[in-house]
Amino acid sequence: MTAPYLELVCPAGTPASLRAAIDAGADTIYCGYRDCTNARNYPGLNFDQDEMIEGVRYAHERGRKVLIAINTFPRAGDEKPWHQAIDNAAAAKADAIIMADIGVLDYATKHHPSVRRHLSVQASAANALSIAFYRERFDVKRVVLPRVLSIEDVAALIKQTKMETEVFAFGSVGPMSEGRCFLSSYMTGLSPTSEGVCAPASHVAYKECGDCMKSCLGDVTLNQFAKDEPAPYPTPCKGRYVTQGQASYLFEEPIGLNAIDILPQLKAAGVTALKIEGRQRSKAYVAQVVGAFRKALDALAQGSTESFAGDLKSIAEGGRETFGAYKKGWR
Amino acid sequence: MPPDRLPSPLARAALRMMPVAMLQRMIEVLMCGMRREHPKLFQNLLRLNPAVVRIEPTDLPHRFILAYGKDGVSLTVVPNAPQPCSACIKGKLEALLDLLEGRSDGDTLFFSRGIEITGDTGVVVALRNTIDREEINLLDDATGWLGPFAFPARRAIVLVDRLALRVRSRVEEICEESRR
Repeated sequence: MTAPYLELVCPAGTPASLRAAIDAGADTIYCGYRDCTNARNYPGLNFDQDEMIEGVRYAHERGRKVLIAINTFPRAGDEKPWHQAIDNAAAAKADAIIMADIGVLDYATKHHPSVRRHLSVQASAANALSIAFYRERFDVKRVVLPRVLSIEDVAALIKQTKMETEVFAFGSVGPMSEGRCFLSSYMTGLSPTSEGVCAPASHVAYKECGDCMKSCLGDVTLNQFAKDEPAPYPTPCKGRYVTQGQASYLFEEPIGLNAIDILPQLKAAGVTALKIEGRQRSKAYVAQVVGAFRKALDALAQGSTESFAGDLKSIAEGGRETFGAYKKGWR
Repeated sequence: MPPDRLPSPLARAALRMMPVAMLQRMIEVLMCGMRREHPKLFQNLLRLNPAVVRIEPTDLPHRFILAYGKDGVSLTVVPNAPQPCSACIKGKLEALLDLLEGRSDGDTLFFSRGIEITGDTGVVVALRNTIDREEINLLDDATGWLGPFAFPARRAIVLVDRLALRVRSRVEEICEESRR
């Protein structure tokens, strides 16, 4: 099963980014509301309902789609913000809602059955049984696969499930069990899964320390880097910790995922859509990454084998790129 | 052809020479233009937690304080001396202008150490995101109030910028010759 066309799904943290993504060639935009219901709940970011309606209108007028991410997990006894967000997304005429929590999926299925449902990567559905459950119970049309699968795994899953799949093409590597990570909540008391804040900015501090800079999350020092050394994201998974007297990246290296040079393999695997990560990044980032992927996809559609490696290196985390789990070398 | 952006070498040269009182007056005119062109930016800044952000262009002698809160939004020139603030952003003028006008990605600049931030990171992230919501062009904002004269004003800026670049390259040539 080979997808005839790879849909380019791009991030928008603000209305300006949404326009930038569409103008740079995105087929589809994903974005979220300005609250705890989406997994990028950072200050100054995201959309209110008026902006969402206007954003959907801007996209639809140009023949593009908007997906709204309502992909965090409601807190016990406080599901109202998630239900309100679902109602708002339906009213804004979203082309689909991206969800992870089964209660939220259930609410959307019952109250807005005609709105298409996608399964967020936060649900961490990485096997055929799990995907089948979401499809059978909530009529989910598309699953966003976690970044832990090789291309062969992705191809096998698509063959087994016959589901539309969306895979990450650019952004963080994220080999954690997605939607299950609580590391930063141990340090800040705020959870990425229910408040949408991985390493909340209000708890991050950079401190000069002689010729070095220290990054801290709450009371924990995550890293110390020299004057001209690239700085990674201040998340616990990208921390450089001292064990047995030696500082090293115990969980993840600061390196960016970039699948731009394996698009033919992803297409051959039957992938439906490519996801660009970065709702917390600027419109300049969005325009650059989307533009590069548009160029690569158009070249692919014309049968070109041109390499685009290196075009996005400067904006990848740590200035380094990897194919991540798509070409696993560590299992 | 008028420029579509404020030429940063010219801006830097002009700002270096400008006395504080004149610079403050120019900032007030610019802020007035920005209020007119970007009312939502100012509304969104007032939705944030009140903060005082120190801005340090490392290639200029001037320092600036951006404050927003119950007294509104203000940008003030301040002496180059430590002062209490919520957060501080340091970088070359060109990097700071690129950020403001949405040409650069803040994370990329920060991670490559093109800018430095200290203090409350939450304040800086909120400010960065709020500014990035807008499509800002300082040259338009600075000359918009001139109405029909905006176009010739931008043209004049191009001519002065070209002249400044020529003078600078000639000065560099003379210095090079004198070193030989």
